[in-house]
Amino acid sequence: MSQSLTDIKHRISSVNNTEQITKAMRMVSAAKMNQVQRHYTQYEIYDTKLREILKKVASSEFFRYLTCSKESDPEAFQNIYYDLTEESIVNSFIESRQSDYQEKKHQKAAYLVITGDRGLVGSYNSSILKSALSLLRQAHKKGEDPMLFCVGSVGIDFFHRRNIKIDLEIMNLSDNPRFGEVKKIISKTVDLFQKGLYDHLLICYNHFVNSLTSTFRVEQILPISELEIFDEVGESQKVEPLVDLKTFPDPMTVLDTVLPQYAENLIYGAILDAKLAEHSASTMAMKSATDNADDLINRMSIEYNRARQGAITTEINEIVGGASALE
Amino acid sequence: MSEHKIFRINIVTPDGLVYDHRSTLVVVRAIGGEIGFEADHEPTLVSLQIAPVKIYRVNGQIQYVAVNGGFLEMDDNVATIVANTAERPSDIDVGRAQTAEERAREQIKKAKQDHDKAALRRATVALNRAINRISTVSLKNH
Repeated sequence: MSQSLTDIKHRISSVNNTEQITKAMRMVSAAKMNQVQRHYTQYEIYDTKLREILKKVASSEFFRYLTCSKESDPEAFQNIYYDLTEESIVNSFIESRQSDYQEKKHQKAAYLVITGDRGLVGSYNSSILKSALSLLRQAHKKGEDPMLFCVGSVGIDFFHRRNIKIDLEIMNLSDNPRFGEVKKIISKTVDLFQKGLYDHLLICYNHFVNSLTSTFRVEQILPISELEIFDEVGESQKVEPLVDLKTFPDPMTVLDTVLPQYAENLIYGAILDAKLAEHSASTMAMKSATDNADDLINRMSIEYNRARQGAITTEINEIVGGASALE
Repeated sequence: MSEHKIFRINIVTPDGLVYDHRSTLVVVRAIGGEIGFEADHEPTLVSLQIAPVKIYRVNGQIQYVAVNGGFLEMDDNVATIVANTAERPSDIDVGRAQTAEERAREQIKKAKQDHDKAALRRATVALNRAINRISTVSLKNH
C-alpha cells in the first residue's frame, strides 16, 4: 500500500510541474497575441487608407475611361493599350474588367496556405491543412494542377510527407512579423502572377474571430479585378458622380503602383490575421492543458487521500487484531 | 511665413503611422520628376520613386523622410503617402545602409556578368533603397 502512496505522490508532483510549464506558456502566448493585436491595429490604419484610395480610384473619371470596353469606345481603347507591357498587372486587370464575367475561365490556380511554425496550438494547424488538402484534391479531380505556396514549417513538412510539390515556401517567421520580413514571399507571389504562371490566387488561413474562436477561411486575392471593392463601387457609381482625380505621371503608371501594392497589402493582412489566430489558438490550447492538469491533480489527490486512509485503516485493524490476540 | 497655408501630411506603412504633422510645402520625387504640394492642391494621386521626401514644417524647419516607393494622395488638404516602408533619419542606421550599398553594387556587377535580369532588377532596387537612406541622413545634416 505504501508503495502506491509514494507512486501517487510522484505522479501528482510531475503533473504539477507540467501544469506550471503550460501556465507559463499560456501567459507567453497571451502576451504575444496582445503584441500582434496592437500591431494589427497599426496595420489597419494603412489598410483603411489604401482601401479608401482604391475606392476613389475606382470611382474616378480616368478609371471609368480605362475600363471602358472595346466595343463602346474603340478609340479610347487604342490609347490605353499604347504603352502597356505584356506582363503588367494592370494589363491583366483591365482585360478582365473589360471581358464579361461568364467568359472568364480559371486556367491555373495558386494556393497560399498559411500555417504556424510550431505545434502546441491545438487543432490550429491540422484544421487548416485538412481543409487545404481537400481543396487541392478537388482541384486535382477537375484536372487542374494548382501551384502551392506555403508559409510555416508545419505546413511545409505536411506537404513534403505527402509528396506534394511546394513552389514557394517560407518558414520561421517571427511571432510578430513585420512587413519587411514577409515582403519577399509577398512580392514573389505577385511577381509570378504578373508573369502569368498562374491566374488566380487563393489564400487559405485561419481567420481570427475572437480570442476563443477562429475559422478557416479561403479568400481570393488575385486577380484584383474580381475583388468586391470594385463591385461595391460599381453599384454606388450609378447614383454618385465621378470623382475628378488627377494623376501624375499618367493613370497607367499610377495604377501600376497602386494595384500591386494593394494585392501585397491583402496578403500581408492575411498573414497577420493568421498569426493572431495562431497565438490565440496556442493560448487556448495551453489554457485547456492547464485546466486538465488541475483536474488530474484533483482526482489524484482524492485517490491519494483514499489510499492513505486505507493504509491507516489496515494499520488500526492490525493493531486491534494483535491486541485481541493477546487477551 | 505666415501667408503660407497649412495642410496635413501623413505617412502610413503596414507597420503603422510613421509621420503625422502640419506642413506648408511637401516636395516628392515622382516617377516623372519632382513635384511640390502646397495647401489647396487639387485631388491628385502620384507614384513615387524610392527617394527622400522633403517636408517644410510650419515653423520653417525642413524635415526629410526616406520613403520606399509607394504613392502620395492629396485630397481635401491632407496629403497621405502610402508606402511599404518609410523611415525618419533618426531611425536609419547609416553603417548598415552603406554595407547594403556596397553589397548591392557587387550584386549588380555579378548580375551583369551573368546576364541575370531578375537579379539585376532586385539588386538595383536594393541599391536605390540604400542610397535613399544614406542621402536622407546626409540631407538632414546639411
